[in-house]
Amino acid sequence: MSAPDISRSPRAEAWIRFKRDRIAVFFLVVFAAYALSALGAQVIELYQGSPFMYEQSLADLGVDLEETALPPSSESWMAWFGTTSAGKSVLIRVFHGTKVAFVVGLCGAGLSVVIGMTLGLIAGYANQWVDELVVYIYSTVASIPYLLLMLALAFIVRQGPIADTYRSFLFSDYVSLGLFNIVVVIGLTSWVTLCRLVRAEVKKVRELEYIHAARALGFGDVRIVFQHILPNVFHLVIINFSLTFVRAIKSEVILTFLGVGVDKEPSWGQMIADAKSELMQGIWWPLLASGLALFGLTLAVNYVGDALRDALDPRLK
Amino acid sequence: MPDHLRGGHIRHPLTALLLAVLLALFGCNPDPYPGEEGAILHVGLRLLPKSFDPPSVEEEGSGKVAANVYEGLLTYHPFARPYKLIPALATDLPTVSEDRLTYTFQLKKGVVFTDDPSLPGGKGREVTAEDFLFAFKRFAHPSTTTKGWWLFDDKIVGLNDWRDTLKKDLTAARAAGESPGPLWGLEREVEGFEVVDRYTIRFHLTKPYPQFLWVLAMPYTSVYPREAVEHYGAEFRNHPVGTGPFKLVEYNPVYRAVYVRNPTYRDVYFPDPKNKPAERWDGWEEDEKAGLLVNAGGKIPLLDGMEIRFILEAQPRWLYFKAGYLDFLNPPKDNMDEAIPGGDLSPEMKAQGIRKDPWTELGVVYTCLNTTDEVLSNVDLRRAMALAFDHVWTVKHLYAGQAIVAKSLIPPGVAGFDGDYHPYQADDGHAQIEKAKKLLAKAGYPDGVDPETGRALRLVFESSGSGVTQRHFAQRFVDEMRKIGIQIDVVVNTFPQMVDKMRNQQYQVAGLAWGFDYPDAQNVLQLLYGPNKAPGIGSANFDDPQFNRWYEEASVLQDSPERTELYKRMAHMVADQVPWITRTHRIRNNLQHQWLQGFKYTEVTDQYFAYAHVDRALRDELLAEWNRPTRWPLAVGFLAFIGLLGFSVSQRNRR
Amino acid sequence: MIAFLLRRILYTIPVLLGVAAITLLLFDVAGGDPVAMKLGKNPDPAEVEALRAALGLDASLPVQYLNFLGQVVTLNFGTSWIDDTPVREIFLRGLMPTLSLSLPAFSIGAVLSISLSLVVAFYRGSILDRAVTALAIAGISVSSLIYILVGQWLLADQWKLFPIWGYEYGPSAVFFVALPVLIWVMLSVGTDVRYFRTVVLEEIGRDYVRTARAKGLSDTRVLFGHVLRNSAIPIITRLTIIVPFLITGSFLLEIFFGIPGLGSTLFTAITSSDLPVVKAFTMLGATLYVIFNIVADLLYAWFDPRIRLS
Repeated sequence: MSAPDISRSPRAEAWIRFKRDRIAVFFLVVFAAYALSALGAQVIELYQGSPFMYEQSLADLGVDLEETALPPSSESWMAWFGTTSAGKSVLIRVFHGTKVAFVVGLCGAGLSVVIGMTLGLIAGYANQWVDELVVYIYSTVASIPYLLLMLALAFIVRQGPIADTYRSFLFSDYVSLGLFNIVVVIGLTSWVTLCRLVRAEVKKVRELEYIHAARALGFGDVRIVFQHILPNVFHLVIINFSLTFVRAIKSEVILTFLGVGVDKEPSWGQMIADAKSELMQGIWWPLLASGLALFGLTLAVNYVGDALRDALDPRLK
Repeated sequence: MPDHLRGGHIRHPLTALLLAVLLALFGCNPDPYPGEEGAILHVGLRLLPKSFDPPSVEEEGSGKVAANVYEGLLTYHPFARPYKLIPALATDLPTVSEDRLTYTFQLKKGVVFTDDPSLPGGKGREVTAEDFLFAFKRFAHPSTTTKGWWLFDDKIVGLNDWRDTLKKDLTAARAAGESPGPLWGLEREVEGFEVVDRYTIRFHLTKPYPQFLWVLAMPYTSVYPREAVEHYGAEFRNHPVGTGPFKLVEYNPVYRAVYVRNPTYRDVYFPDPKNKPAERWDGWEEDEKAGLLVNAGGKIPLLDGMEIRFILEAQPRWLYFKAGYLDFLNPPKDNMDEAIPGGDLSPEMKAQGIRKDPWTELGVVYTCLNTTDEVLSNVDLRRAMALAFDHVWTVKHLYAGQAIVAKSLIPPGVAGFDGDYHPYQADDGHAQIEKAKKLLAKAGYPDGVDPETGRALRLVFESSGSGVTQRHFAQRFVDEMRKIGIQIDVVVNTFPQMVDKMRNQQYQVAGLAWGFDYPDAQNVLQLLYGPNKAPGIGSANFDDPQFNRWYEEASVLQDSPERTELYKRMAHMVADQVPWITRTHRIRNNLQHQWLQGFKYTEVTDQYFAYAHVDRALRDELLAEWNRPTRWPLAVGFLAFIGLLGFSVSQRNRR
Repeated sequence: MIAFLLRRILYTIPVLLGVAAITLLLFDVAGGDPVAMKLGKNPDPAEVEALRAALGLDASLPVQYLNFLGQVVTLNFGTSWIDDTPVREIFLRGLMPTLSLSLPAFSIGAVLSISLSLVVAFYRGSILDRAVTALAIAGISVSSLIYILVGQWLLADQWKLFPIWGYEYGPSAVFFVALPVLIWVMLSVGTDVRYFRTVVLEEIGRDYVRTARAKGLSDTRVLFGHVLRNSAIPIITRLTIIVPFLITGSFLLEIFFGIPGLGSTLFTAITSSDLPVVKAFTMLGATLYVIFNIVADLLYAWFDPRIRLS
């Protein structure tokens, strides 16, 4: 075994460790495939106008099938997973649902991570009063039953002035109010865990010698936080991001089921919620397709997230 | 260190636990009614009931649970169609005076309330005219929370004055520091409610009110004893005391209501048209052929008891029915909540012997356009929108064929129906896009573009709920409007929010449905009567002077050609002015298992379950056959677990 | 120690005050109008006013807030706006069903995940370890809704092993909660096993374990004697924090399986704008949450003497 190359940064070390786990690499590729689909779906939508424009029924497209829900068949590539009760291709629907999943996952988790990280950094580094305030905020938010917070926020965002303001933005044509709503709900309800972790870690890091040195050298607080402290807590952020991403896309399913989720764009949550009455009629293929899609993405992110954590925190293996 | 924990046997506690779990699993069986006996009707309700208290029984949930413990003066014949009123606690239909302002009812003698601790001696006592007087006055009392006041408002002589005076006096009493109870001032006389003698009650109306008899068959006007109200107070809503065929024995407002046969129920017999010509009704031969009359002549109720479970989710409700744990599946009354699974019975269902009993509902599904909205007050815009609808597609895909296109807001079979006049709906029910676009241009929105913004005209659609089907309907509306270039923003509301918006005129377009309370077109036309507009029951805020005149004229006429003509004219105006885009009359299917007898689904009342019967032996036999547990997956799982355990032990020992 | 405890308890007061304020605010903005619900079609304006006064809605928000606090202190939350049942009764009625579902699920889940994680840590690196870990990750990658839909359809309807829906008070409840318990356990075991496994592995990685094994102690003894005790802290803390959720219940499971418990009650209350019930349950949930957080801290301190200060 060769001697460790001490000129490599911790990040590069971590990446090498990660690469050794071949399954994790496989799932990373899977994730990339999903991401590309999401991007592709968005591009197609931009090209064809608002989301549902493209969703022509198979009959419109000249495929000679009856317009009702059909089980998977090999008549046309679009019918590989069958059709929904409105004659739309399940496969195409699932494909476009990827976009919603990614918007929800990236933006929802992103928002949550930004809030959690920022507040955690502030609380950990600033003086006691600010710290107390942040702790108070997150204690209170965490004490409110999740269901109530989620539904109340959903109602608030979807009606009234917030909804009107949102609708006046141009991109609200591409990211519907419902989607925006989910992002906000997830962002505002999932940040507490990260905040706690970051705060604790920052408190530890703050006492390290080289931070003292930096302060002695006269570096400003902001610079210290971003240049010196943040890199030390960033592994927490990454891990938490992957966890929240998963939580976000799973929440989309529940929120849509409750009727406060995505209503305009096709989404996996919609297809699963529709399965509620479809299963009764013996229509199982939309549930299978959307369930598999969801499972695949979640599994990939979970696995990669785990591997990331193992890679970034070598004490565990 | 204890012996059993040495050397690799650490899994014993774990194994023991899992074995215990498995044993429990093997003991499981799917019967949700353990230990039940007798002919019991099993009903599934998709809503939670709110109250048994008659003035508060206004929605489907409360209606279903209260129907069989309470009775009023009149009710509906369980089998006759079109719906026919028959006496319940009255001896016969009332004697009505020449000027149609006085209705006199004779009460049946010897009818008793069920035994209840609130009554003297705990035994049920006889029902008299005084009891009816009490019930009616309480219904009108200002302290009684009810949504049904409009049924009596301004109709009974002296009642409005009585109510207004009471209100004033109550406010004064409260201001003076008193705390008047809910029955305060009830003893005051009302001229319009007259107790002639112990068994005779008379009503004096302020003006002819042809719908009065229908009202007396509604749950609002059921009779109950004063003692019960005084004894139970606010709890009376959960503790009914009535005269009905069933008696409530257990009630959990979030789970179920359980009933037994009322042992002191009066004598009512299942009609026997075959042997007694006097009891015949139109169409009795078909009912006979359908096997509905097998229990003719028997004493009601035939059932030993009834259990209504409140199953909110569609999947478990459907599975329950399929497995035979519900005797019939009852489609929802209003709300576009559920697409009925499939139009035709599947082969599996036929093999189970399930019957399908279709009927076209007395109601209409419509898209409501707020005529006072600044954009939608443009009648050409409304007409254009109407033409863009493809009703045939809706029927086929959103209803699986279980609906007919609504040619008029009045359903077929009700006086006033005219299927030929629909200027803004194609004869074949398909969309007429070209015509719509022309009208749209005429309305000032060429190609759907709003000249003010330069972009597509945007309208807001209020969806009345968050269910899957409501989403489909909303989506469909979005698609249809896009065909003419209009962009729709969908807002999803909870029920309270929807009620709010309707009341305050705060909406543009709403997806609604109306179910008739009684088989008279007035019941739907009243929604478009000007004075009823918001904050009243009216929708679309429609207010046309000519319409109002016709409505007022018709409101004092009995059922007659003149009145039907007026109804037709009003319906024509609705078709012209398009405050509503009428869409469909839903076809409902009442699915029944083969052991259910004498059950003909009735839309306007729920008081007919007492005529039903259940062949318990047949049911138990079939259920035992259908619901045999499949235990092999458990065995497989167990073996797999053992295998894994053994494998890991061997791995361990190898180390 | 006492000082620590007192400080923590005192600290909960501002938190609860904050929760009450937020709840009221959220409801004020997001809730529907209960008067419309009660009076419906054609209400008299005077009646509307009277009802608003009776429900306490005519007061300004700050006054409503103070009333709310009064209710919390006297534990009198009034009656539901849907059917006038006293909130206390609603709570008591739903408590047993929820507990009959959540307690078994919690216990079985805890025992199962702790055992599994110990086993897996014991055999770390083996096929068993990898299989269990893979299964755990796969398990949490499926939406709970799918577990419920498919579980009900497959296990209750197709294989007829469990009742589809329903509940019985008393011992028969076992049969009715069996399937939802199973689903709940499946949902939670994945996450818990992963977490506990990490904790145990972290512990095993410590120096003292290597020392103990070098000294010749058997693996079993090390595992049970030392590792388990030291891993107990994060494990127990995590389990403690979950307890409040056992009372608020899982509304999805309760709705789909007909368990008339607190989860579905809260859900119905929120969607029907039933403020008294929402207020009561929120305060209850928040109070339990802060209490159990304190309990977790106490347990933490008790297990680890190094931490016995503020």
